[in-house]
Amino acid sequence: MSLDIKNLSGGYGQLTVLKDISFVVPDGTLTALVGLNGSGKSTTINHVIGLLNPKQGSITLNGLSLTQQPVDYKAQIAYIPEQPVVYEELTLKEHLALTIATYHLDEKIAWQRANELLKTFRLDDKLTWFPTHFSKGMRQKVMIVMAFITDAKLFIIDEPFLGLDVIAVNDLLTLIDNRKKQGVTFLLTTHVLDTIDKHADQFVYLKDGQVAAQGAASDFVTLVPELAVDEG
Amino acid sequence: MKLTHLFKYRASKQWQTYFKYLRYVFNDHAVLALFFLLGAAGLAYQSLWQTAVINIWTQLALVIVILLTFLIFKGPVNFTKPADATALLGDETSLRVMLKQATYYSMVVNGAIEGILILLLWPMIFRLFTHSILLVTAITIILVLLKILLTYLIARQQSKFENQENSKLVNWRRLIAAEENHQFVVLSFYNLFIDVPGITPRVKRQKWADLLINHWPGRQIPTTKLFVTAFIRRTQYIKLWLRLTVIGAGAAWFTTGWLQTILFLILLYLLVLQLIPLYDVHKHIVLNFLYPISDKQRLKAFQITILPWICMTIIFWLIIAFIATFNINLLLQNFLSLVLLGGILVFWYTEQKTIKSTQRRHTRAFTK
Repeated sequence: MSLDIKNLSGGYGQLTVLKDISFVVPDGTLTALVGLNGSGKSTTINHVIGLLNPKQGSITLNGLSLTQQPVDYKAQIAYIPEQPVVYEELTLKEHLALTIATYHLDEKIAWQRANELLKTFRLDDKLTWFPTHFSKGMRQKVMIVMAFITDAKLFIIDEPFLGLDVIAVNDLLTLIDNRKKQGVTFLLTTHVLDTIDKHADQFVYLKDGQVAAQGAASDFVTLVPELAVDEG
Repeated sequence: MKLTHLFKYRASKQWQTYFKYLRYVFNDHAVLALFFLLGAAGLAYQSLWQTAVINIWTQLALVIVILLTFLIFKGPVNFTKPADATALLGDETSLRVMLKQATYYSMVVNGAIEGILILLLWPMIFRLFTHSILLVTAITIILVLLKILLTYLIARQQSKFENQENSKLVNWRRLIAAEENHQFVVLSFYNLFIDVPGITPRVKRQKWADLLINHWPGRQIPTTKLFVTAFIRRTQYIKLWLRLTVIGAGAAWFTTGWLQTILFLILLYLLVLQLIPLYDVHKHIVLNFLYPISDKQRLKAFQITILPWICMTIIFWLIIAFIATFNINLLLQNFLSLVLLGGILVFWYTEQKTIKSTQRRHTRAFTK
């Protein structure tokens, strides 16, 4: 029961970015997807969340095929994009209500969870505001709250720390750790080595659209020395 | 590009863009409907001209219409761009020259439009007021000059800081905002037919509609509420609905017989056609495609969203047309035609039009 990517080739239109990549994100673990700019991380994520159709290969989540059972597949994932894009015409409260409705969550439990998250990310007094007017960091927090009120089995988080203040970064990492303990799976792209070191279980290193290395997070520095530079 | 040619460069660029979009708009078969509508409007105008009663009320109505021409096409363009205030800081003279030229250009364009509008009203002016061509020409010239003056005053006001009459500083931020606003209005028109990139929607809270949004039928599909909210809060859609419904009410009042029925059908077609972009209104939002909702449900939600609005429009037109004529046969003819076409448009046509966008969505992705 996990995210299973097999021999995936894909990209945008005629352009093939990913060339025969395969990796597994085991249940209840955090897998860091790493690589330099343009290595294919976002393309991989776009494929995993179903925004691109694979040219070859397959993507399955807990036995459900992305291409054959897209609705059931998507019901199991939550996504936090790198660039937070919100509905211009919805208030924060309406964003949360929409997520609750689309994921068919129990309203009482979901709102309770939402209130806790809103408090954690200091958004609890902004329920009637339009997130489109928020700063980038605040919009990112909205994305986080929307994702974490769901019961998704797989969380896909693209560069989660960009634009977040230090307190929010810590809060997000705590949330990830707590959910992971409950058996939730995470696929996370990051450039922050400290995150891989302290929070990831394994890593997948992409280079030119191919898997150049993968293994346990503890072996990252040994297996990918070119990325293991001092963040100083 | 030399900075001294800023006005020429930007004005020609803008027209190129407008023509490009216009070409796309006129590619669609909607253009046939527009031409037909124009012809029908001409016929209706001719009939109105022939039958208009000459009394104080019709004269007053015409005066109001003439005054209304002052409310449209009065704003000046200035061709400024958001980066200008900082990027061209070192050469504000060029920007000032461009501003001046843009103001003259707007005065000419707005004056010409006013002239055309008044010329269109000439037949009614002759019928209701006077037969003196000299007098009507003089009035037209005065109105055009007044429009030119109005444009100039607005342009001057826009460039100033509030409560700083003696300052020579130009309020570039205000000018940039005004230009963006102007562009939004023009591009919103094109956006009703085609997808105009980079257009930022205007959203209004519309608290009065909360009850409507929360009690709309078909709420079991979550995207229904999303579409309804977008329809109401993104003002362009509700305004479009209102505009075409009012135009149809005008057709209901001033025309009769098959001409009226055909006008209704064309307006209904234009209404649905221009509401279809609402289906794609959230295509830039990645979450929208991650929600576990099938394309079929999404389409159903869209249809449930627009159906009540279409029904309201049809009922309103039928009532006005019946009050104007008290003709049961015409009422039945209009009712059957509108219900039949409305059903086809809402349940079949929208599906055909949205299939393409769904296919496109499946082959593209987000770069963000």
